[in-house]
Amino acid sequence: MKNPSLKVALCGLSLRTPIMTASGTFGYGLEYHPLVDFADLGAVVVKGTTLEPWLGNRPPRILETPSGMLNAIGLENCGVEAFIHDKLPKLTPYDLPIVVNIAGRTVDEYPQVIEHLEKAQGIAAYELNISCPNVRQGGMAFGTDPETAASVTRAAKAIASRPVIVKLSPNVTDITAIAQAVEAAGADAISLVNTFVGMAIDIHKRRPVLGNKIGGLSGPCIRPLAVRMVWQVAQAVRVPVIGMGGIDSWQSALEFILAGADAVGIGTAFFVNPGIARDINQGLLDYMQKEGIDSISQLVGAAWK
Amino acid sequence: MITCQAKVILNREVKPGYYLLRLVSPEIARKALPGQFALLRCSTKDLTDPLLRRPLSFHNVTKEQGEISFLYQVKGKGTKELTRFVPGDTVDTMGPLGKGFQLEPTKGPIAIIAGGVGVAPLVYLACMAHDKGNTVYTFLGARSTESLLADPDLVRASTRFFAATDDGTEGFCGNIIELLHKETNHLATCTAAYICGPEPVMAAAVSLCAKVGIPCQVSLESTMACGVGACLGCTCRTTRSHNYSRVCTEGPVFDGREVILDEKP
Repeated sequence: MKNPSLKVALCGLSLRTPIMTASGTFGYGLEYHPLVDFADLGAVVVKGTTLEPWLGNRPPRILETPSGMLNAIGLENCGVEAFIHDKLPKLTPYDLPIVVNIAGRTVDEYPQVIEHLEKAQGIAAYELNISCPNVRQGGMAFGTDPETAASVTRAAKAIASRPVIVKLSPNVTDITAIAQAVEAAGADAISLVNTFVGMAIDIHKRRPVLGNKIGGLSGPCIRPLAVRMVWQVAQAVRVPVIGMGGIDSWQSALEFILAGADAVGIGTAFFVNPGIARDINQGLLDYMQKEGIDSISQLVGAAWK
Repeated sequence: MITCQAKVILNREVKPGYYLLRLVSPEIARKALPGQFALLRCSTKDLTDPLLRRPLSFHNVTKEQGEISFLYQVKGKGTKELTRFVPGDTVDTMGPLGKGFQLEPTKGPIAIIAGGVGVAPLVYLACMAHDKGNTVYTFLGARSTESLLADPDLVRASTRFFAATDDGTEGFCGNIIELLHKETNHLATCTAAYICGPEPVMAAAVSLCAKVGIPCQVSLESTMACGVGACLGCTCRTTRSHNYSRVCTEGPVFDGREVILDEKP
């Protein structure tokens, strides 16, 4: 049998492996270089970028929880202009598709960020973070209402010349309704899940641990919750799906693929094992070789039958 | 910065609740500077709990033997797991990371100011300064003789060694700040001070250094995830224009005047 292939075609992007980075866990790409070999990645998704620089939340911003972690970074970032001038040029020389994650406090801010990014070279796609609070609507996240999620998607699509991926929040009653709404609004792909809202209390201080009080839960503890959502969303939409949530091994990456993910995102696992992408690729190739599978795409959604 | 499986030579309880861990990693030992740190995976198997690596400052480094050592207090799940390692085991170690101490280029006297397990990153520095020919005044504080971490290498490197215990079981009876006030004449002759300990202790030591007019550097501790500046989880408040700095990459050592320390105990 010829060598199995991990190549994935995803809304116009060609990825050499289905392994992508999850936004916010991999900075602007170079922080982990050379500890992470970019040849092991299909694409890099950089830190959430906003119109103006955001300071982020007051510390403490992270906390370890059983088989996971809570974070409330607060989207600290240098703003889109500094990103284009200081960060992007350092990453574009590498042979690696760059996906820019975009966040905003109003619907209008998303196309405004894209307007800046459209002038820059070397970007493969945009990913909309619709989990941040919408200031116009009293702080409720864009991603929790199908109509608002669709309007952010439409606003971005109206101006973007590059594919638009919409990243869904799992903190909703019916995630398939949101997925179908953003698909109808033109999303080229859907990524899920973002973190689950959670909190922890310091029993000695009798106060919330995180400076922001509430944070997002990630890591292996959320994996079964995320697999269920990917399973349902992938069957409810036609666009490609990028699955993530606690992936820390080739087995867990494969679980998401079998649930219907075309590609997968790795986040928290990089903190534990910077060599995780290489390990997953090797594990998937060995599995495919053993099972006589030529292409990873044959396994996408294979658990549906 | 590399990751490696570092072999355990020693993992011994030196005082109740405090352990000294010595590992072999010639690559990390060659590059490690005083004040820098490593991220250690604390479980022997591929467990997901504790999940994150733990940041530990280099306690001492011997480049000839290729050894790195860490002094840690058993505080939570991670450090408790770490005590289980025995000689011959390997620890998944990533380092060296962060920005260390800037050692004064002159041979003038320096002050080492450590509260409790805060002495951990200062021993390597004191040894290096001693070898360079600096006069080293060490001020070490703890609750009691049972927790006073007077490392033999530190005592050897110190020209004068001042200890303080809250209960008076060893050295000066009182806390380290009271000791520093008593020894202000020594502190005032120093060209720089290097401080690590609980935040209120560091805050008080920083203001005392400012009062006697000497520059100082502090080593901060923070919960960490990535350790390489990617996740922005370990930030501290600074007087710099952008407000927050990453402890893992812009620190863990900062100029005492540029960080905003919590003065409350």
